[in-house]
Amino acid sequence: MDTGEIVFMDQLPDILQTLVFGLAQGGIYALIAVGFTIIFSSTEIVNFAHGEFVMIGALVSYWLIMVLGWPIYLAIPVAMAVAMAVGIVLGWVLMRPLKESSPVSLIIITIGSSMLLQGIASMIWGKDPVNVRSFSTVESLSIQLPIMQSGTQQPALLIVETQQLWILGIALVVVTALSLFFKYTLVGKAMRAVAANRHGAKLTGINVSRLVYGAFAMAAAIGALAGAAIAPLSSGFYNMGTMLGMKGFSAAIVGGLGNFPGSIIAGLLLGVMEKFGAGYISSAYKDAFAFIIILAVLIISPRGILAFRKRGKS
Amino acid sequence: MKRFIASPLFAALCGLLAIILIPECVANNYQLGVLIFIGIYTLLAVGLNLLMGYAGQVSLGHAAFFGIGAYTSGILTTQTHISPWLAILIGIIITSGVALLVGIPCLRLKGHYLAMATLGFGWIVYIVINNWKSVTQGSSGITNIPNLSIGPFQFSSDISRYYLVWGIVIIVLLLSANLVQSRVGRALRALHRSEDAAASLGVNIAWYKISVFVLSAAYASLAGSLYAHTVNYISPAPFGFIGSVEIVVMVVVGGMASIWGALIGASSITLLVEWLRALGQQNPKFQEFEIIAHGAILIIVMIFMPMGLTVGIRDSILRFFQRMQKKLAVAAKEKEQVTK
Repeated sequence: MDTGEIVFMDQLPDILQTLVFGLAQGGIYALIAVGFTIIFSSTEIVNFAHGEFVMIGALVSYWLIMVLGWPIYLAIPVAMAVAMAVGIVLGWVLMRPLKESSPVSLIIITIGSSMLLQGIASMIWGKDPVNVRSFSTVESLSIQLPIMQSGTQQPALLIVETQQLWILGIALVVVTALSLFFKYTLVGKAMRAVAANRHGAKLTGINVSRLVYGAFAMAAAIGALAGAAIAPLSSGFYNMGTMLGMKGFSAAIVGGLGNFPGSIIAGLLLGVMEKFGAGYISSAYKDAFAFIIILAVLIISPRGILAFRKRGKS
Repeated sequence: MKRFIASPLFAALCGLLAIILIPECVANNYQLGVLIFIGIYTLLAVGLNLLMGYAGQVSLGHAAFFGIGAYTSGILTTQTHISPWLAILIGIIITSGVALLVGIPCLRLKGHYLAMATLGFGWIVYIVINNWKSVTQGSSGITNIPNLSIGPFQFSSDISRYYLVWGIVIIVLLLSANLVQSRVGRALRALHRSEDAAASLGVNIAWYKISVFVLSAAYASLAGSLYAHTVNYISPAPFGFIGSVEIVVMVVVGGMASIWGALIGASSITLLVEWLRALGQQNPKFQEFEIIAHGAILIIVMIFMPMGLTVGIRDSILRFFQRMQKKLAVAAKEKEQVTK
């Protein structure tokens, strides 16, 4: 065994630990990215208020679980329903001027909505971060690794929080359900038709505006679920949605807008790279990694992403 | 005479007259301060309007260039004691260089993808400003930035700063108005309408896009340096994502592809933000509403005037006159019938 290998073996538990944290964070990004993708592919709107659905999910579930003492299995569906209602209102606001307004004015409307929702949230819940208890009563599991801790004869431990497993499980279920939904149900197929060609879909008798509301409701519900799932790990606060929304959007672009497996993989990758970057390069610049990645992807393979978009539109 | 009235020179003379007269009507230094901010934001909005309104390229990271200019001025004048004028020049050179580096790969992108790339760039600059503490002092900001001066005269009073900033604004507005009337302006509008058509007519679209991007970044850098030397203090806050959005809103509210619209957009949004802030200071309860009101106004303006205030108000006035004309015509007809 040469020294390089020994150093690697010493660091292996740390690396695995970082990987677990990264995957859980990435699961959240993936869920947010999927919501972005659903709205973008049915309306071509870049929804900067998407992070606010996450915030609503986190804060409403906090309020129901921690303040009112509701059970989690009841609180989360209600939080999702609240976000869906907000999503439908947002969709209505955005669809009204859709005919004559430019993409820039739509982007400004979503940013305005995002400020509005943050303001309302800070009035209701204040500006201080709040903590939510995790979904399971057992908070974390320690797994013994088949290697020794460096310098001791103790086996190395890997600590996995149950909430992290919940996040990964939820991401997996949501993605599977979504791909089945888009592949096999009539509504899902209609949504794909609208994404591919709006006018063509209208001509075949699809009620486009109802589907668009459906897309907003679905995206909002998934966002709120992500928010409720991340709240126990990192506390919830009124403007938590800004950064999470940006990261989710980075994942959606890196994965190729409109591509569900792509967003999932990109989300997980982004989470892992961010945690490794924070741990091994610089924690102060951890938020910059997502943006460096998005710039790099856009610059290196704009053709790939544009080509994908063209294929989706044809 | 008619031609003279339509020329930008006439507009500039009117503007000059207004600028000289306004301080006579202004009550206090706070209001002069707001007017200085309007001047600085006008520079930003004019620059972004050249890029967005004329060339049709969206930038959601323009506050980054504003920040690079401000921080170059702030850092150089506090740490090396060079002349602020030289610092402004170096700021413009650095910002243009950065814009060139970012612009060459990014401007190949279109629509949402360009918006996303500039957004990412803006966030990176903002994060660096916040975290490169040894140089930028992080969130505590740089204090004691020196005033601009000519010989022994220091621009330290609000009134002298007001004339300085607005003198520069008038020069930049005139230059921009000339630019958009020229061959360059026509080329930009052509590539906005259709890049393929413009290219087929021999317009070097890549070159024009990059140059207008660099030019608007240079305006932003100039605005940033003026900000640093008139406020004497900079912190990361105005140079973040919301800052970039604010500049975009100014352009859209003022009206795309309109140099004077940028002036109107910058004035109305700056006044609005200052008004909300003042309300919040007078009445602490209102502070909570500030962000809500800000968001709501953005939504309402974009829904009801997607083409911006200038066009929106002009259209509603035109409609009013048309209705009046119709009414008058009907009344005249009725009168005719009665007399018959």
